[in-house]
Amino acid sequence: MRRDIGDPLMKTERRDPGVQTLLDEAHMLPDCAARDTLLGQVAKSAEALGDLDTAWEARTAILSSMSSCESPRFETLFLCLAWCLAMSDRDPERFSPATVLWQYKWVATHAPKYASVPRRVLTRLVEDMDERFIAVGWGRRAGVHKRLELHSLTGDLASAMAMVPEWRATPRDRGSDCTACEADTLVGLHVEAREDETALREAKQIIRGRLTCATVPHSTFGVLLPALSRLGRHDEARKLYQRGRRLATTTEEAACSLLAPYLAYGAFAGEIDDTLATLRIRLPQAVSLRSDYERADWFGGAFAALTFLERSGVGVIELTRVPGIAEEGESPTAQVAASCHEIALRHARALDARNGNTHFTDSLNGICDQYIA
Amino acid sequence: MTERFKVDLRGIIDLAANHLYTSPDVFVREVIQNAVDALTARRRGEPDHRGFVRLELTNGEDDQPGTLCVVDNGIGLTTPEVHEFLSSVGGSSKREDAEAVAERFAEDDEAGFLGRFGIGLLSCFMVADEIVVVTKSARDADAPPVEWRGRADGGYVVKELPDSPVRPGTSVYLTAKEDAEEYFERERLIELARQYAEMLPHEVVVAIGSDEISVNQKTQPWKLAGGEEDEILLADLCQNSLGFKPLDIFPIAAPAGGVRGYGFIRADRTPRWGGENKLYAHGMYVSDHVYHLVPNWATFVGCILNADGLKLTASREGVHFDETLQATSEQIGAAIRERLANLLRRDRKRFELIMAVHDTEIRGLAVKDRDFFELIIDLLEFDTTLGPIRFGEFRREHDRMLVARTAEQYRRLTPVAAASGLRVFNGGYTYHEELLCRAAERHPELEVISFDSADLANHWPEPDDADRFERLCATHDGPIKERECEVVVRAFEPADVPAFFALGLDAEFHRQLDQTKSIASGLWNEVLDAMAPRQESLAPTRLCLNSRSRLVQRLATLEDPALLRTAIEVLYVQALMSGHHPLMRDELALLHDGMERLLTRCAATSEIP
Repeated sequence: MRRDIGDPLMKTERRDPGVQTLLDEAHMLPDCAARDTLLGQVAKSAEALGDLDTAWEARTAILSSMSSCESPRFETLFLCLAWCLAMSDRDPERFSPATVLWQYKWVATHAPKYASVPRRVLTRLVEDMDERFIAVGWGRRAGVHKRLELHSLTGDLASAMAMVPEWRATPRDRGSDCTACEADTLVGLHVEAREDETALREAKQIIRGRLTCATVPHSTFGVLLPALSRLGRHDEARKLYQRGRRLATTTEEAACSLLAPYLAYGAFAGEIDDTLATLRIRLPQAVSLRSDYERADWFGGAFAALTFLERSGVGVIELTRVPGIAEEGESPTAQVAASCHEIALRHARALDARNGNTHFTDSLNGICDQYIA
Repeated sequence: MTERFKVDLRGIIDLAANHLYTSPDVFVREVIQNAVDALTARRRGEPDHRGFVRLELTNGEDDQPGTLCVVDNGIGLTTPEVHEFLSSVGGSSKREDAEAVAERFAEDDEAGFLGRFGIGLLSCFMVADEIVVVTKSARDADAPPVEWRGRADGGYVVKELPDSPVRPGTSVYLTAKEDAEEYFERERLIELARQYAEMLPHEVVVAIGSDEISVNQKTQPWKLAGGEEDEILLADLCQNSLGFKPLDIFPIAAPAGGVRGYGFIRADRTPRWGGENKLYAHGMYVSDHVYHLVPNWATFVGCILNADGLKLTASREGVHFDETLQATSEQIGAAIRERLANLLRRDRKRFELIMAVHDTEIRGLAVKDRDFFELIIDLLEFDTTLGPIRFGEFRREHDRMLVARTAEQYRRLTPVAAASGLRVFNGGYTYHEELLCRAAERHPELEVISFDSADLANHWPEPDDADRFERLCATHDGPIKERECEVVVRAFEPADVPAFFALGLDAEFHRQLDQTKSIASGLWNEVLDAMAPRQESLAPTRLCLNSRSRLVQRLATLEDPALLRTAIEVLYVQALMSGHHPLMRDELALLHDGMERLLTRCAATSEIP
């Protein structure tokens, strides 16, 4: 394809030395937010200099490192993917669309977590993803999975469950999620439907350590804690709590959002020291979570944990300063719990308003009873 | 009725021989490993037995293939044992249940056995069409020597050799098959034997004609006490094995996986995927790249480690990712942190040498590890608009810290903030912001304030003679208005900067969204719109004209509103460019049009405005 001077898609022959230095520095780092920031600078600088190939390289590198990220990194993920898709739409030979399609699935998972994204746009987003998968010769399984997940993330459990047979019947292909992630989705659905025995059956391979990935088993173990509790299998719950919490706290990019179920269960099961330590370290970090879903989930979990702590006689807790929630030093547990509940409720309501149901507020209202059959 | 799986033996052998391993190289390891297991078994009954392993290579003459004979004086096998161990695939096939197998494996691990699944010998089919084993049991003096011939199609023949004067032990004969001759060449065989066996506690010799080459190291490094003499040995070992002269050497022990060895701090920075760590199991080489063994933040360390308690994969080229490996990785991480902390306390000179090379990595470690952070934070140097300063020095004299959160914001701020005497920290370098935020948690008396170019604009006063510049701030159409950019006049230094584009962090993200939206599809425009920070929550975007600039002062005197407007638009684009903001198409057009109008006017009046 011939390109003229002034054409924004024109190739640059040489990379700017300053951009190269930043890129080299980024390549020295492990996957982390600092690396993404550096790559973001590379992309912007390269783009300003008209070097789209380097901008593409940097943005696809950012995308590749975001498998288990949480907000505010989601926003970078969205921005990078939008840019890369636009580039590959313009010049698919130079910017291969297949390079970024795997990450499209992550965007499809995270977009529903923002109440500001309309339901109509979410549906269209999954359709667009599906169409792009088909266009590059990948199959439909990921598309079906994401539609099911969209129902689940927007509080429509019945529709999500109704899609399970279609999902199971759709053949696996190179665009499908890993088997561990797929099993994790199924376990989550069954736990939410209170089909606890079925959930545990689905989780068997994960519990045995035969299905693992970047977020499994720790995400699954957290989800299973209420199910095991309701079934009275407290010893198993405690074991999963210990294994899962350890994994969730020692993962390199230890995601704050993964800890919410461990926080609530830990306090319920009397793991007071663990719970206090998690609150002390993670509460200030949780404030930077930006998606409504994560905030409803995390602060809902923190509210439950603080409520259980107070019931156990922990009247005050010592925290570092968290604006709007706690001052430096000791704070009354009930007061911190109320602040967390207020935040969780605000975001649960925003999600419900977008979804047209009461799923998230109902879940929050019943959060302290989830361990009781 | 329960049916039995039908097993295609040829397929199984093909799978084990040709697909399980990453390269035919491993056949050398497997034959040595079997020999070492035989020696270990013999030592159980004869603790003083002096074992050896010899790899005798005979080069083929007249284009005949080379032959390798691997000889050991280990336990040897009886005829029934030959049938059991050499002729069954999968060590668990004769066991009643999985627990018994697991128990046996645990015992084997403790005893130092390397093999496990009974598939190692099959790897020889990658380089030979036939495997011949001649063996005599050391346990049963009356048992005759036995010959076993196995073929890749799954067939085998066992023959007793009652009259043969064979000594106890085992010999494995391999003749190179077509396309595998390279593995039977002298240098290649020595290299592979050395790679796999150099740390084994038994003597391993490669014999070629009259040459006898011992491939073993004299000492296993994990058994060294680490004294001064050992340091020289270890430094040489690091140079030979890992390819660099270390800045520091320290012992590592991770009891969770029975891991012992040494860590070596690299003399130069290594890309995140480039760092090698050598792992051995019971002295046998496993891999240069065992994922999840050494924490991925520790790219500045290379390790030589031996593990007695990690679960190897079937191919023995990696380690199972399980809780033992995780716990081991944590303990290795702790050992590295502890070493750095000790150097920081006791050998500051060496620590600073390491810091000079691995600044980013060590800052990363301080972010992850609270204890290490406490030790190091006061000593860390940060870039500020008034020059570099150590955190400890700063906090002793100040109670307020301004931090630019991105390197871009810092770059935009630097010339003007410095001229105003403002010290702003660069939080945009890798890990700097995280460290400064954590420092603020640790020192609540120090207020850390996020500071961007919008805050800087708020910091500048309006000029005393603001009325004089009123006309410059009139409403502008086009991109200035569309970006909701307010034109204001402020008094700031340096006076030779006529205009400064003040854009807060959130507004900067908004601008990026706008840029991406301008090229994205309709659907993605909607998605990005929904992600955008609410406009009302953004700090206002401002074009700050400098009342101290002679150019701005002169513009304030212009009578012609069209000319004034063009001049402001050109200054707007110039301020964007000075701030290294990528220009959007309409902004570029604004610059072109503005320059054209100014030059046309200039040509018409022969006077530069």
